[in-house]
Amino acid sequence: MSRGPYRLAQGGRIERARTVSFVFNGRTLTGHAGDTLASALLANGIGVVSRSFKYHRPRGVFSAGLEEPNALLRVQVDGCAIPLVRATMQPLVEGMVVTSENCFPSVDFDLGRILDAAHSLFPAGFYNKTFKWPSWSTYEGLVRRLAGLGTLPSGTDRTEFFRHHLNCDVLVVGGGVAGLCAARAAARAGANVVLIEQDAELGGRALCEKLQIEGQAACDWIKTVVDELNSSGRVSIMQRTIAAGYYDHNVLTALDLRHADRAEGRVERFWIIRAREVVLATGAIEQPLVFTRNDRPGVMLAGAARAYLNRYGVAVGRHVVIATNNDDAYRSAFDLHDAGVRIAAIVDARARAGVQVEEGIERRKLRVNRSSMIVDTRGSSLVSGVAVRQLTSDGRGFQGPSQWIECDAVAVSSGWNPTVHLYSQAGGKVRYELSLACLVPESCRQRVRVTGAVNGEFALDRVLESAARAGSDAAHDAASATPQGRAETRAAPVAYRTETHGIREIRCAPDGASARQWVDLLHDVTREDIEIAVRENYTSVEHLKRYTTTGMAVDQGKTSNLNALAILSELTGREIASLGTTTFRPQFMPVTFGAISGGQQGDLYSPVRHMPVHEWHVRHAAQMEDYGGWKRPACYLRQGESREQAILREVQAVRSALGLFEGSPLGKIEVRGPDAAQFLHRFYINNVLSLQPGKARYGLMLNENGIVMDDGIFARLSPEHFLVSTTAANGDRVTAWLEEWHQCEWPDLNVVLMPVTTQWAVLTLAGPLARALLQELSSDIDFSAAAFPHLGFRSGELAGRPVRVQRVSFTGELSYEISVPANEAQGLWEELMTRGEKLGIAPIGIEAWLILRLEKGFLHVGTDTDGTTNPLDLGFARVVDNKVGDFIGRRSLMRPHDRSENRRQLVGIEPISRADTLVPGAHIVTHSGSSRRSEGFVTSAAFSPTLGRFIGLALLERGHARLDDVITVFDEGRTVQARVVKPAFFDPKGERMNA
Amino acid sequence: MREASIDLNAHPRRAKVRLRMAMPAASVIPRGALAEPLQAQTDGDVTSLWIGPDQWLLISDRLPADALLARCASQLGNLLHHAVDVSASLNCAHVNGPSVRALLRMGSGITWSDQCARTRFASIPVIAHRLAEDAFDLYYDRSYRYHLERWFDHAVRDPLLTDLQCRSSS
Repeated sequence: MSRGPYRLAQGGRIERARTVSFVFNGRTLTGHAGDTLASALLANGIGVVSRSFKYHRPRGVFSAGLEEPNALLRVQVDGCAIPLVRATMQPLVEGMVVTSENCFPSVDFDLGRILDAAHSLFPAGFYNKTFKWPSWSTYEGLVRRLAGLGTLPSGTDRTEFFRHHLNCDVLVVGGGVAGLCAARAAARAGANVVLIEQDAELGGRALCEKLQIEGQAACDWIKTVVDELNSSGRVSIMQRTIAAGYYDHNVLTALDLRHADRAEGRVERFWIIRAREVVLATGAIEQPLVFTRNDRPGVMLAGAARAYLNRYGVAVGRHVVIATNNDDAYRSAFDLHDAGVRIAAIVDARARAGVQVEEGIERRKLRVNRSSMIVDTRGSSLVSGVAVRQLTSDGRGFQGPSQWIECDAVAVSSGWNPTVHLYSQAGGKVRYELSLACLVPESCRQRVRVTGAVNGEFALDRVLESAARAGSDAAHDAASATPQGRAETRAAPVAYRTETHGIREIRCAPDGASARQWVDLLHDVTREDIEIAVRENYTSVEHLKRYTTTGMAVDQGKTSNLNALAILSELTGREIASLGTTTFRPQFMPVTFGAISGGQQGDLYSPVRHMPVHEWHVRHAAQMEDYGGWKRPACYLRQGESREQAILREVQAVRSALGLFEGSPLGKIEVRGPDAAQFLHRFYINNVLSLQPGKARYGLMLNENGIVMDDGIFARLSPEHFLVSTTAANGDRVTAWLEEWHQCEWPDLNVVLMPVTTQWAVLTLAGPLARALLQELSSDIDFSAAAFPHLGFRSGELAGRPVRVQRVSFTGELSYEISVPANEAQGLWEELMTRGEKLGIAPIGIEAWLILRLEKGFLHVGTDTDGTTNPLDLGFARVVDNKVGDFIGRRSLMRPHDRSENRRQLVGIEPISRADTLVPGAHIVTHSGSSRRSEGFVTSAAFSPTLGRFIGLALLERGHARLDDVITVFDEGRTVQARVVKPAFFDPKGERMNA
Repeated sequence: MREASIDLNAHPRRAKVRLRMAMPAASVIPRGALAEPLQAQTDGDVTSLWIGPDQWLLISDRLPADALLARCASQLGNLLHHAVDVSASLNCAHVNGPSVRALLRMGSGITWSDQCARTRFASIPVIAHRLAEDAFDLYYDRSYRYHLERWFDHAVRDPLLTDLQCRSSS
């Protein structure tokens, strides 16, 4: 809905010579460089810009800053549409396509408005009380479709996200007069300063006012200060950057939109800032008055009307009514009048304004309705008139008849409320100050200062004084503070809170219960909703917030909290100061998840590690997949082969000839020192003290509860030198585990730990021909069966490379684990493949490797164990009983429950019918009548090419006592009969690996 | 403006030995023998980087790792220690240029003012050695080579870092 052009012929800071075209709801409009989207819409006479969240009421631009609750629009630039962009914060960009949200078919005629007609069905908390019959789910689909605001971004999002960290002495948040002054003082005192300003221009409210600062026009003063900051070499200025979160230890986060509208593509940057001292100069947000139908387009904040006039050269109307309870709104009246806009009336809740204001009124001959308030508005969509009534002397009621005043805009003000959100996030206490009729900072334990309007300082001369002091004090404290120093609780200064704007604490039209008065425009919360909440005893501010949704979500009550408190106070008869405030939560302004991630998505989401022979694997058609954070070959595809065929072929290669497998991710930790054996003896359920140099042993490691946390081989390289191998996924965890016990529990043990996982690549040669191949290579190691038996360890040279070799087997075949320095790995791998070609060697992927171990019944920790599995469940009772001395978890294994025969124990299972299949995760069930109960589950299962049938491992209740039992395996409706067997399906005597 | 560069595989022949001492032994090392906390110290052909209260990384472009190990053994022979050649596991990335600090601050929140720091950079563990105000060596696990390359490729696209070019010598 348009009212014609409202751009004034002169005034404002826009570049009138540069015209910018954009499209709003299909209409091509123009604005100027320097405009925001909101100012351009107002200049084009656009009154209705959106529909409200719940009732689809028409809404217009309400503010000129980040507090905007109405003009949340869908903005498309460069093919990507972003929802819920605040028009008041969005610079106008050539070609921008803007669409209203939450309306169909158009913003001027929205079918959703029917919800407004039926609003009595949807009061606060309606979903707790209605739609109960026959059930909530009957209505849920419809309600969910109607709920919410905005739609997900569409188009190809080419936004790039980056994350930066920043350290500084003094962080100043807010680039208004107070912030600039504080930054200047801090820089003059020698501090490294970072100044953050949400606007594209520095100056804050001073850009919107006709002010003289320190003898200069505001704009000249701003330029002078900024020039000094820029030339100091100590100040970093970040414009169009919003401080969104304030956390412990003076860590703040900020969203940087400096490059959000560049032609090459949108960029969002997320800053994590660590400051020794913080100065908050975040200003204040003007609060609206509450009266009937106060949400009608054309009603806006008085300060916003002044901002659009003085900064953008836009008149918000041609016949404007000003409604206020304080002196500040008169500045809007005077500026609009002086610019040629007719002031239809000033409706003041007070009997008299300040002396200077009265002089201004007299000079301009303005009409003032004193001791009065607006009680209603009218108009088809846009406001066309307001009803005014006189207040009784106590302000608690009205007297006399209403009087209608024609107008096309209403500028309202119930005073300014400090923007204490970040202060509150920092842990600062906030209280209601009666003399200022607003919330002010009280005290905070972080190294933070507040200055300017955020501290309730509204007199310019006192702000300059306060800010200079805050800046210099911050610089001084930053220089003297040690990083570890803890700040004392700091009280916010009160000496500068001198200006009250003569405010009268009347915000809401009395007797307003008869019609809807809007309190929270973003969430469509009315006074009636608060009344309902109070009637239902939600009289705590926290309860009120959640029951009515006022002040929630992205808005965080910027224009609603204070009025909600005032109404709650009125309804409960308690003073506002005694009500407390809700907790202001991060983010102060919406921050995209992309920005928070800083671009850590896709390949950068989590660091993936690559093995030393990675490039060879890729060149030879390996199917690379993620296993425990490593890229590893699942299998190697040959021409025309399916994945399954490749895996079966690789299994058969190992069983019949030779396979080569890269196991480099296996964790490796060296333990050295005179107490090394004793140290490890306390971790493993196995005996370590008896292990001789040159020998290796398989061991299980438990946590304090006796639960299996890892397994692997440990080898004794020399009497005081051990090499511990862990599973690939647990290398870092076991290292940290050993470190913790050594440093915290057993510092008396004289050992040194050293993780060496990636220094050594591991190439495992497995198969009946493994020894034959190694004996062909030059080496000082005797690989004969007698000289190098199973579970032996040797160091030496192989094919001219230093190696450590362990004769251990995960496949059940003759097998050698060859560790070689990582930078030599690819050369040795290629040599083994070349020399093994005539023996039928094949590279083996991890899928075949796991089938080989399954055939042998070897444990895979994490797959065949869960968070309840102890070594007794796995059949290691004899090892535990034979262990000499204590070990971590032993005490827990002595508890009756841990030794119970009813526990789930590891067994092998094989289907009765060879044609049946098994899948991991399937449950083993028993039937009792019509009910089904799980007795355990399949942990591993696969088709065994060696045995020609499916086999599996399972954790089964009383499993060890149920060998040969027939069980029922249930998986997604399918049941399979299977027999319980010992886990070792293949070569149970181990003849092949001991060969 | 001189060229800025990122070399993810700098000094491929540099010998690197990780030295760790038992805590009682670490506390009796004479001052000056190894780098002090957060410092790097060069003694002849060998530079020691402090990477923990009981740990150092010894690097040398002229001596092989075996010589560094032998040096540890001779100098610390009577103190319980363990020195391991980690030349094959640690890669060195050299980053320099006018915007290097801005680039490094994208990866870690440390101040980058210490001579030596062990930290997480780009989500991976690194040992950072400050060679000059605008030049750093980052020692990182070789298994993260591809990750770090992708991370730098992404980071240098930030318009704030217009003068950096990602260049790998490998």
